[in-house]
Amino acid sequence: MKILIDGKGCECQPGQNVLDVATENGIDIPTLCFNKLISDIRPAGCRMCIVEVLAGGRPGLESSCTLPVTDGLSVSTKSQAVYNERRELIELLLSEHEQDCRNCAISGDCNFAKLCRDYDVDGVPVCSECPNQKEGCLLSRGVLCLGPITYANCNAFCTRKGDPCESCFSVLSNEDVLKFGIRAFAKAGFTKEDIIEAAKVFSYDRVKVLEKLIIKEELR
Amino acid sequence: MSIKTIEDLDEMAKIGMKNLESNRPKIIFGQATCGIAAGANKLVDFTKEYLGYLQETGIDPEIVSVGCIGMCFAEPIVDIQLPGKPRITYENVDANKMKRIIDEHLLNQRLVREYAMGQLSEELSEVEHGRLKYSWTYEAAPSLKELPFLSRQVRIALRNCGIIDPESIEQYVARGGYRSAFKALKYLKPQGVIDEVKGSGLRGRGGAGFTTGLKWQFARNAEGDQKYVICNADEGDPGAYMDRGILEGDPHSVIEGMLIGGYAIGATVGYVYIRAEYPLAIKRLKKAIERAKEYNILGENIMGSDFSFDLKILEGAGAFVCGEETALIASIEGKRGEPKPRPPFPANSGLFKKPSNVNNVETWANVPMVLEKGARWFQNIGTEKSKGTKVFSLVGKIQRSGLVEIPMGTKMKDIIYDIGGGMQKGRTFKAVQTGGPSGGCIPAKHLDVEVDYENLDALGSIVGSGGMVAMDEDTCMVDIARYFLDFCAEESCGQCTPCRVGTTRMLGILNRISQGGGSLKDVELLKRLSTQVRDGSLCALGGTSPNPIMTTMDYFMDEYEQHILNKKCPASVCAALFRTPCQDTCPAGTDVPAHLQLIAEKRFGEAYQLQREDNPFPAVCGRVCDHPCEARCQRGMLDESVSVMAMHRYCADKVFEGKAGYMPATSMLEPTGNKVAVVGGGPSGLTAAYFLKRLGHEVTIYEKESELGGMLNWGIPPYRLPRDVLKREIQMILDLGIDVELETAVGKDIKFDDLMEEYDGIYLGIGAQKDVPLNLENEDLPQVLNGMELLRKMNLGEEVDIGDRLLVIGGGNVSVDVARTAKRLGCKKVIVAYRREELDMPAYPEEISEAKKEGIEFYFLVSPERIIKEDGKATGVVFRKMQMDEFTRWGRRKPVPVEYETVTIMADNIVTAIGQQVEDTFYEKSEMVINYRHRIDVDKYTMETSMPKVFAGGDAVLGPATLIEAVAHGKNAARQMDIKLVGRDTLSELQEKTPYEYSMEIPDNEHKIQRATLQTIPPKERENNFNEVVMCLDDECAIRESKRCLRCDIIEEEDLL
Amino acid sequence: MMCEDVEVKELTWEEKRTLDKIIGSLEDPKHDKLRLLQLVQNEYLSLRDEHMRYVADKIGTSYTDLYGIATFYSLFNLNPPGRHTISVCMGTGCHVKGAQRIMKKLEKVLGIKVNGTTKDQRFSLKSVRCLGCCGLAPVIMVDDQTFGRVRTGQIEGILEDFE
Repeated sequence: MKILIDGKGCECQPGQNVLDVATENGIDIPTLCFNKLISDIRPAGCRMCIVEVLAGGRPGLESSCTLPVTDGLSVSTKSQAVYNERRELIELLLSEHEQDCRNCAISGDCNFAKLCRDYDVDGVPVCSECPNQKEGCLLSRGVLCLGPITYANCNAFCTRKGDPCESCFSVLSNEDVLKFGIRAFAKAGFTKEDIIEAAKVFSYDRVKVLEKLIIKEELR
Repeated sequence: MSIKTIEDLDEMAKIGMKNLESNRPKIIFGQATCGIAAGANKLVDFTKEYLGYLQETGIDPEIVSVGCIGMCFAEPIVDIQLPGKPRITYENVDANKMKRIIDEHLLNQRLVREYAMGQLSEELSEVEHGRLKYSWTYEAAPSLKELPFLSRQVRIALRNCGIIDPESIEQYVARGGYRSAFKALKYLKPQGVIDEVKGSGLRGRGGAGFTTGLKWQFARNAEGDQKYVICNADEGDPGAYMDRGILEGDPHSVIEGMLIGGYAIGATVGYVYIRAEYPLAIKRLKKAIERAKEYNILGENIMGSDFSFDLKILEGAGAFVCGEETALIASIEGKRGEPKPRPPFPANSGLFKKPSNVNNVETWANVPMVLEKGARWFQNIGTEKSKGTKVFSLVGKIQRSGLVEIPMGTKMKDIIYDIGGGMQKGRTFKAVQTGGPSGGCIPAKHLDVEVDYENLDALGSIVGSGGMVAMDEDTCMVDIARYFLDFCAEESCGQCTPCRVGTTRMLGILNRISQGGGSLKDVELLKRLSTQVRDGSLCALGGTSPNPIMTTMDYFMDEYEQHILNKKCPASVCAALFRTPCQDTCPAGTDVPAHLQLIAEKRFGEAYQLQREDNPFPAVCGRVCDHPCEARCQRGMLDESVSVMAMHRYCADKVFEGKAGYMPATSMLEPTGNKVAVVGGGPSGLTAAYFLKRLGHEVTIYEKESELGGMLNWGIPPYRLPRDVLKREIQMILDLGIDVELETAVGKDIKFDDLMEEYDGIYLGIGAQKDVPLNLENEDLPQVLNGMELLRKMNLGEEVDIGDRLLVIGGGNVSVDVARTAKRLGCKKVIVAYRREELDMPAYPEEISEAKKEGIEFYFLVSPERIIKEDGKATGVVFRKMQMDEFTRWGRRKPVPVEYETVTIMADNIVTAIGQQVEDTFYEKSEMVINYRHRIDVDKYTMETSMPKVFAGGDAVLGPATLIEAVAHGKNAARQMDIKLVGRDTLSELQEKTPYEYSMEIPDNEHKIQRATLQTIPPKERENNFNEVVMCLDDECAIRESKRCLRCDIIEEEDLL
Repeated sequence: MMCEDVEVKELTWEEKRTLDKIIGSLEDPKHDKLRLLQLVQNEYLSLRDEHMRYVADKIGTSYTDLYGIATFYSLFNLNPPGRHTISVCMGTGCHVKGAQRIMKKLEKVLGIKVNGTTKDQRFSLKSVRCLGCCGLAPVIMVDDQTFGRVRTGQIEGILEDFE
């Protein structure tokens, strides 16, 4: 049997699902919850693997991990609808996620952080891709690194080399994340002036928000 | 006994029929849950006790309990059936009524006409066997079949509800029950059954509307050693209870349906998954299953065939999502009721991974009738794609709530107005919510829709399980969206991201909006989230959860805007955004409860000044306001609304009589040095001037006439609004230090550009005084007078020649005012002609009744067609007779001409008063944006026109508006202009300057208190003078009236804490 | 399986016997878990930890499985309710007709919030989704008695009958 994934013909066996077939054919479909061993009990929860059925089934979005292959099936894994839906899903997940990337064990190797970057969703700081957790964070060495409050997407280019992040990708707008960052700065002994001075260089427009938050945090 | 042949069934039917038409007198109680909630059980106890006393009379009636006939509005319902006579249905029976019914009807065979709703003298439903028919009927009671609630119903699923004793299998059989099952088992092949069901076009009644026969076919075709049929009785939609009605009223119909389904599919076991919240339904179903087993209708080798079928009941444990079939199956399996993605469909891998078929209660109940009367019969009912009937539960703010079974394709407005009797207490229909949390709200403009699966789908809603909640102006649509989303967020099983997080986030946004913290960006966000949650969710619960939001946003965006931009909840529901329904409804925002409380405390001066904080015309409003506040008064739900307008008048009169007591001064702010001009000295202009002056600005009013007051002065006759009252309140405004330029028409005597140059802000409060023409030939003859112009002349005391016979065309206040004034000026005969019925007249009802007392004649349902011209003079009008047609979606009947029928009314003069327009004025030549209705375009919220620093309001913006709307415009324009000039909202600061303190105790007045009625002077004393007709309330009456207020303000303030 | 810091009460023989009887009364207790838990709750008014652990052991499933079910369905409660349960219907019909006001009044009269129980264990207050009496909205249910067309002023009178 053959199905079309993004227009590419893929060989498959009856009983397989689209996600399997895609993986076999080197087509990447992101998942957060899929696990072959338990997919029967907990199917299709994260919805990240959705694809758009173009032909050969009920048109619309379906989770590929539960979509059985059928003759004449044609799906798209990267249509606009799929992209939008996934992006929204990431935002929703982010909204209930404690983004304390700096203290997270899987920082630098996080599937979710990667998805955030892939789908250009605001919200994860540079720490999420920074490998320094293992050798010691720059902040703990007394270097003012703006990583915790800066947009990730640079693959932690500077901190990887041991240089502090200067927030060239601009300060994040998600206040929850900023909060974690500010606490980290405070713990490392930096003052409000230090932080504002450093952040001014690339994110002058965000400084006001930052200042407000710092005041709020320090008061607590 | 075990049923083997059709004769056995006939034998049973005979017993059942005898039972139904027994020769013992019967008292029949509707004892479904709703009947019991209304007090049926207590009534039964009372009846038994009372019958005990009556033992010696020898009367020994049988007490029977039946299910719900669907007329919940009439519960508790009691039927009395004397041998051989039809059943009489009594509505809203209590112990007192019951006693009388027993005494008169049961003992003396005399109908208690006042309590009787009707008689069951002919069959109500579509059953074939055992149809009820009585040769003798009571003359005085209408047949139930003729009642509007029942006449349009086609009862298939509800065929036995309320008719038979649900616990009697014999009675069910007597009505043709188990005949279809017998026929199927004995004479049809399973495929034959499926073909019949398929051919009927029956679709699932649980929500999605999938073709039932096709679903059965899939399950039949699926391979498996064991198959199951499942009845979904987990009726979770709030607002829907037809499944409960069927299970409580006719459980055997479901059993029979499942038996047939089981046979067709090849399933030997059936499950009924039923909500534990329905204990009575469970009890009756259990009993029914037992009885069926006794007769070998369930069990091994049913009715002598080789088919065996067992039925089990499973009680759900309270999870809405279990209404979804895969979740329901998981729940039967003893797991958490979480939905699974389909495929695989239950037809292939369902319960215990075996082929299973799930249908809901109503679908199963339909099946026996489909087999009994055939697919063709069923096909003929309903619309092209939706066949048969659907049971709806009509609830909410509707007159007649209950279960109604109607053919698919019935118009929504017929359901609401014909069957449901329209809205309660004369309220206005706003929307109907269908389909529960997965459905949507259908607004008035779509009331024409023919209800079926496709049409409701097209409107963004669904038929769903059949809930229909009617809503009026007391229902906030944002709150409704919030309510349903709260429901979905709570009932979400939490498996998939869009539903778990998405609904919570959307709920958060809606909460923010309903608390006044929303922004327009939230609306965009909601829209986006809605689509993503709809498209991305695993099951239907999540996928349809945005429907209530999407439909309310589609149809009621203005309400969202009110919440977001105006920080107001127009329906007075969202606690953070309103104080009381009356205050919120008053366009000017008068603090009615405080006003009433101060009057109750006899502090008239303070009450008067408190009202003047929001409205400079308390005495005027006390006479001519259209008092929208009274329509929303919560007291109206108890007995009658508080007579707020009369209280305004009473208070003002007390003040004018010099009995004000302490009267606080009008608070003012420091002068700001800004100069503003107000163009037009009518109510909206004067109000604007009043507030602007109080806010510290220098104000000059430009008025083209020689007197201030505008429409109040020459649009309202003095017998309604004495001129000294008006002058006094205008003077009070001017006394604040306002300059007035009389006889100065802007655009003529002074250039608009000059005003623009001289002033920092301009308010345009120019009115609407031009009559709308009839557009008939000969209208330009001198005998055809212009209503508004005539009224103006008469009010200003100018000489008018109206002759002895005056014909006034139109039904508004102007026409009634003209008529009454003409009568006072000595006109012998005055006739008012209107094209609709009396209750449709826009004029105030009290004015109409006074006019009648004064001898004015009214002709209704006539529409002017031709003006008669004789000798160059107009001498009369030929009218076309009209009749009222079907309801329009606004809940009014539409007048349509009756062919070949005309009425001619002769008159000396003819007055046209069918509406007013705004006069063409100077601004049409400037750069001001004027809309197609010749009105000034302003921003709804800021009152700003297209020109900088120019604001407008009143009739110039709204068209002919009410007094209180004009006042509200003036007030809001002043506030907005002030914000522009000063940079902040100083009106709130101003209003806080004078604190008013009054009792904040919740009064103990929830018992019935008669509303104060206004006295009028006798019609004789009104002739040839313009004395005020309506008299002021006397002290005792007024104080009692003021204490009728329920003080909604207190409860709500506590809630905010 | 058991966490150490969770203190698990020992069951009495009496309790064990009762639970065994309940399990024995079902045809297929392993699959009929909903019914099983309902019966246990009917017996003890709430689902206690120790009971669920015992039952889980007996029918060969895990405590977490039963706990998962008990928390999923709204009919189960983990804390013992008062002697009488007041259920305020929050169905659409009732919502439109002011169920919120009834609830607020009840909260005020009882001095507790929704899902709470009065100190004297007399009343528990619950909100339920729809009692299916929409035609008589607003509706409240005290134990198994349904009251329709309820007005705030009647609340105290209704409660008086329940001691």
